[in-house]
Amino acid sequence: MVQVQSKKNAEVEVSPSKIIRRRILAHKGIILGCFLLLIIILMAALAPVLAPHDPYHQVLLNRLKPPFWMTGGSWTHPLGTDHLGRDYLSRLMYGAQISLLIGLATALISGCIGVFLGLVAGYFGGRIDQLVMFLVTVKLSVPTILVALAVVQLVGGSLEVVILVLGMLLWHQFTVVTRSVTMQIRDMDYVTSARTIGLSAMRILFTEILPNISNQIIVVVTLTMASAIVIEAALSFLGVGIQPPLPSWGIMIAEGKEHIFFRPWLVLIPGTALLILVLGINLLGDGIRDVTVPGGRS
Amino acid sequence: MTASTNAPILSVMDISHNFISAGGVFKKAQRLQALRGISLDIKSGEVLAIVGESGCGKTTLAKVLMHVIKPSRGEVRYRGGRLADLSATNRATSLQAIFQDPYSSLNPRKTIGDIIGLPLRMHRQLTEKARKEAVLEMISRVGLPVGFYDRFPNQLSGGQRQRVAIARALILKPAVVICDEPTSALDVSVQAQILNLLQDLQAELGLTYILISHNLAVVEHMSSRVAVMYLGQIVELAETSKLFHDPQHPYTKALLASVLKPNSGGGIPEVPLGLSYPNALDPPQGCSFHPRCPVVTERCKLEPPALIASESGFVSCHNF
Amino acid sequence: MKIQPIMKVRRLSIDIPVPNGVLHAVKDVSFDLAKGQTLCIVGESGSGKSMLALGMIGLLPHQARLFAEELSFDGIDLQNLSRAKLTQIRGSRIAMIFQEPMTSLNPCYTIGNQMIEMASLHLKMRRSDAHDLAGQWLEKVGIPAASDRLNQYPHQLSGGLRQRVMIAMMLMCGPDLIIADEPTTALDVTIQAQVLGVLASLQKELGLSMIFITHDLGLVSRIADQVGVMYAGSFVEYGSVQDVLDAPQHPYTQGLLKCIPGFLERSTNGRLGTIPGTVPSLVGNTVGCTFSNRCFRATDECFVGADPEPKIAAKHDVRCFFPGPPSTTEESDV
Repeated sequence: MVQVQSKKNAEVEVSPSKIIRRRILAHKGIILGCFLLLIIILMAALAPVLAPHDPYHQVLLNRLKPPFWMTGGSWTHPLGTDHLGRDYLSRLMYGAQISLLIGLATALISGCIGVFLGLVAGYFGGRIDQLVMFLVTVKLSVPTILVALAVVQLVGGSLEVVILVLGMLLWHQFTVVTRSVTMQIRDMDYVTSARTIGLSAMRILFTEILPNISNQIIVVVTLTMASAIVIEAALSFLGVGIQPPLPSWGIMIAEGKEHIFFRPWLVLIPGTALLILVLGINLLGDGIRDVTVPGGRS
Repeated sequence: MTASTNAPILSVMDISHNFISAGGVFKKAQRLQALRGISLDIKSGEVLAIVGESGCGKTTLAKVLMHVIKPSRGEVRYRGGRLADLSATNRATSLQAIFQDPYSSLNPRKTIGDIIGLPLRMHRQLTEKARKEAVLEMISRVGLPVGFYDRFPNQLSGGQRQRVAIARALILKPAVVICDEPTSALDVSVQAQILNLLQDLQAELGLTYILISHNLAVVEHMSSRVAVMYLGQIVELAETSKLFHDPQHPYTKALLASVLKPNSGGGIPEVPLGLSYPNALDPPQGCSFHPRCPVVTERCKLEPPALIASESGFVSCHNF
Repeated sequence: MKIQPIMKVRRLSIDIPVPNGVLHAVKDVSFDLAKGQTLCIVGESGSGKSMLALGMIGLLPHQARLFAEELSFDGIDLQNLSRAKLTQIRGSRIAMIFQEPMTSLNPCYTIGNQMIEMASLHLKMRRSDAHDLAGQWLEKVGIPAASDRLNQYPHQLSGGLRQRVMIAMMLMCGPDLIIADEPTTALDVTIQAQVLGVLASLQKELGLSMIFITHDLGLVSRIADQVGVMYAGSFVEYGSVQDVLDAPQHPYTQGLLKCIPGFLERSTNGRLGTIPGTVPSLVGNTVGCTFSNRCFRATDECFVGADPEPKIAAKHDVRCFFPGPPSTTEESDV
């Protein structure tokens, strides 16, 4: 029997990560989102190196200098100075650190809480599911900003407090998504097989189910980051978040609001930075969701 | 192993199971009687097929045997002892399962090596090297190239995935393997390969199979005994050749008559079953088959039939 | 005088552009379907049989390309028909029955609603007349208490009943041709027999032609007049059902028959025959016969040149360089 392997038989066998990589590179939203996000990340990372001045250094003689593209501006302070003479570019760059930190830390805390609750609710069902959904309903009826306000008033505002409070208030989206996807997966044969093999429920949740829902969770991470960043900016704007002189973008907007008519850049610059960051995160999240949608078997 | 060949390796003792769907404010809680009083002895080394159509409860029975569902009543015994009393390790090394859908029975995020090696990791103390060797040996034994160790399920075809599932089920050398429609999702040419593989492995490893299938041709080919299920009960149990050549229960007869055996130009067989559809939420009074039975009598509508011993098993019918 | 076949297909091919080239889903398929006859297209998954069916009535995905030397239905050229005309023919003269009736029946509307809609659209009837017609047809497919059923929703019916409703809905408009794509695969075997019985008797009564796509050779042997065995996009064997199934000439068909438990009378020491290897990729051009990498009688000639053109062997068309009866020696199986 003649057995010649004809070359048409060579099916290209592509690993799942390669497929995803291919789709990522082709997705415009992800590229744009990454680009925007990268700008902000670089700003934050390189702040200690590239910031021209100390963001806390006040020079009252130099107050309210305009950015370089306007008359009266100069390259010593490329984005001008604020009402206390502090360099705006430096404050913006250090502010990026704060925003990113808030976003990531909050997503981490709320993610841990939310995903855990979602996993157990989706997998065990019954009473546990009812309990978790009750908690979610309660959480949803709680007005996030008001509670944040109240807590901060009681405990005092600071970076750590804001992170903790937001972490406790933003987990519901994780729970809802995790729960629904877990419910879809728990009846899959590979989960039943894991039970036949004798794995404990917890082990199944973390080694069989969790890796298969990571795509959806990443999307929620991006959404939560964006929410956290915006809420923090709002809290700081209201004076109940991070306290000055920390260069949070929210504080910068707050401090600039008195001058909004004659020196709009004081508000527009941190506002634009916020916009770029949140837009980048959201584009990335949407893009990841598009790219990891099932229906792309090799 | 000096176990007497007469003692059953697995005993199903009067298993009943109900699924209760939660009631709400506007909806009464509903009870789905998936299994109703199933008793069965499975002999070591045999292939017992469980056949039936949708809603008969064979999948639920499979899950009970796998110990994935705890039955509402009754118990399963393995080699005389209660299955529920065995440790997880003992259970896993005695009973394993192969599932129907090759596309959902393998974790898409794990490599083939990890998937097949997981039972070893759980239940055997082996060095990583020894474990890898055992997995590679199993991969070859099911007819796959050893290079598949590092591949992911999405890189394999349906038939190849099913081989991986078989390797995973057999790596702990269980005594009993529950095959839940192992080839229903596969093409005919691939099905043949998998069935041959299953037969070879049975001979090599002395396995006992419980084959759940709706494909009667496969059942006739593979099994030594057949249990026919209908609405949660076994209506007939007999040796394969006896069942296929001389069925006793009217449902079995109808089932066999419906099989489209090759017959050029033979036309479609008449199957006198009426339009009534089996509803497990509201099983009929008396004999559950009576609304569709061509030889129904008054007694059938009132009294559920007993299990009457036949040549190689039993039949549950008043007319027997 | 030769009677015009109701469906005439010559050299139909369907190509689909994919990221790494062009997928030749269907290659050079030709057949004639006489009025009142049933053609079964048999193949495993990936053989292209569903694509062929969709292609014939213009329901391919938009990026697919279909070319045929001829594709005519009752003299009408389907290739160059406008979208509007094609849609009209699809409902009124060609009926399509799919595998899963839940997706063909809209779960939001009652059965009656959907049937009446169908009748009003294609038969231009008044709603009350359409209602009566719907009731009559439900009875015709064996569903009693038609008036009650008309008010039910698809999810309230079992699978078998839904398929019967589909059949009623599709046949109500008086088509000449039915294209059924695995209509009973998802049904229980007893229900399948009943539904097929209904379909077969209606076909006979109304003199309909049918193209029936399936993977089940047992089914084919029972209902087909003509059968086309599809492999990797082409008909490797095509002819009357007796000729093809009783005297298969192509190694694929022969291999397939040996794979099916209980199909052939003899069985070799309890093992089923197998076809080694896997279906080659349909992307790009093939060298030699598409089946050559799995064929037990392939010779060097089979691996070069183009796919074999159909030739006559044992009174039917076979695409093989060396068609012939099944070999008596055992082929290796895996």
